[in-house]
Amino acid sequence: MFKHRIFAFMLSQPIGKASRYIYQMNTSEITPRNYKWFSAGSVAVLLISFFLPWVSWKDELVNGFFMPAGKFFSLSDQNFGLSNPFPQFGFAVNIFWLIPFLAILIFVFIFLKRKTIPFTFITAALSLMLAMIFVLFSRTLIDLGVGSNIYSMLKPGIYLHTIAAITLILTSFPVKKYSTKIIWLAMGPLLAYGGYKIGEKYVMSQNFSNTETLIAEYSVNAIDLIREFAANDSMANKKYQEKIISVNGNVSQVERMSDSTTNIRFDDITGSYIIFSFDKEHLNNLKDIKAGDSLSLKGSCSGSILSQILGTTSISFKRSTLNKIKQQ
Amino acid sequence: MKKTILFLGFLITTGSLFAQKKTTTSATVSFDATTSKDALPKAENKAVIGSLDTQTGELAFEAAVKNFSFSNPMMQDHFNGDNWFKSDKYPVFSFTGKIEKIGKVKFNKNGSYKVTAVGKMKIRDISKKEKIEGFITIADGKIKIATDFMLKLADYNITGAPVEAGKVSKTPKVRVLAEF
Repeated sequence: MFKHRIFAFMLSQPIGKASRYIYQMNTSEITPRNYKWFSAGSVAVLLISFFLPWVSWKDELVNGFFMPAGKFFSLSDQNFGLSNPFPQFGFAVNIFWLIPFLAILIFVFIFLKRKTIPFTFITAALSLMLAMIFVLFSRTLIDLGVGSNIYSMLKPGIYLHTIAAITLILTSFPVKKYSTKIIWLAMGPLLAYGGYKIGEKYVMSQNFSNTETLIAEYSVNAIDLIREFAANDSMANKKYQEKIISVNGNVSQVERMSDSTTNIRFDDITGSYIIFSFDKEHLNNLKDIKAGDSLSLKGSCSGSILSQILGTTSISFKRSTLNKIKQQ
Repeated sequence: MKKTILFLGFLITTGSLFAQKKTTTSATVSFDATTSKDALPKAENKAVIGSLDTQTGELAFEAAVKNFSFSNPMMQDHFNGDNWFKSDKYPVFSFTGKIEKIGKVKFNKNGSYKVTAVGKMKIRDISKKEKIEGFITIADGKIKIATDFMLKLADYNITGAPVEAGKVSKTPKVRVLAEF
């Protein structure tokens, strides 16, 4: 019975000024004073749960405050290679510091018997927005192989926080219209969902930058690079993989394929080699290159493999470009 | 001494002229897992290592997983990630097998032959027997191999949300082109 009264209290709203604090069902126990206790309880849970684990990404527990603290995207980037798609707007995450700040303020206002609206609405909407971001981002991580399903990733903190935020909106006082509360309930998740979908579309429409415009992180001699991989391939792979590298050396072999693409190799005396793959738009620039030429090539290093077929090490580069011809 | 050097030189020269095992480091493997929902999972590796023994029909390919080049950075991350090909742990796709009835292929004159290769495909450390049909074309002394086939991802324990949601084809098209 009591639950029914609470539910009615939360969802039903007064329809006129005269009934502002009187509810149509038998809600005699539910007065604005009780209402305050609900809000106070909700805001306390909201504040505590902000610092509890919300999701688990493999063995990493991620708390709500990781987002404004800047640890959310850095953790995802370092561990799973998924970074903030809009780093230029990275400062915007600071808005979520309002959640603990306003939660404390609301708590104080409740005991001072001061008006807590609109702070309750803003705090709860931000909380729901943040919870939605956590869910959507975790789902994207599942696509990358982090976890198997979203429910196994979610931790009690996010459930507590969400329930507290919903309760805070529904028990906000002085009582507002039902429609107002629904709008505040939906606002955070909808904004988060819309923003996330825009971000997702932006990321999926991105292409790799033209290698010509990129600055090489390392500039190395071809033979030295082969030696470095031969000496410790796991360390060299960690150092060079997926990085733009300039490699200088004497061409050992040029292969021009029937589809107008070109491969250029630098070999050492053991037969180990570096191979750069060029798309067909480079055909014209490469048409005069021949074995023996001294070249500087630039590309994204794919790392090395030990070929069972050739018995040698192969270091491959993709999205390659001609840096410069040193001498013909 | 001079005779020995001449004899060794003769052996090396004739050996390379009549070598039965041909190799390449520039074979191409294209991977197309696009669906009506997503046109991005598509890549190409143009530095695949291959070998063909024209006498026995033995055929082998090795492709560095990280060298598959995508247009979209996120899709490349997915491809190399734990749900797909786990390239950090399993850096190579390989195929080792044999072309059946290789004797019918006349490598010394121009022509095109439909052939079948039977062998083991190794992806994510899972070996599975595959039977792949393709063509061998001999043109002016060059041997070209071309094949198109479908790869069943589930055979190699590749599942996950994007595959189930239809964003990635469950049976991507694979095209191999090699010139020896």
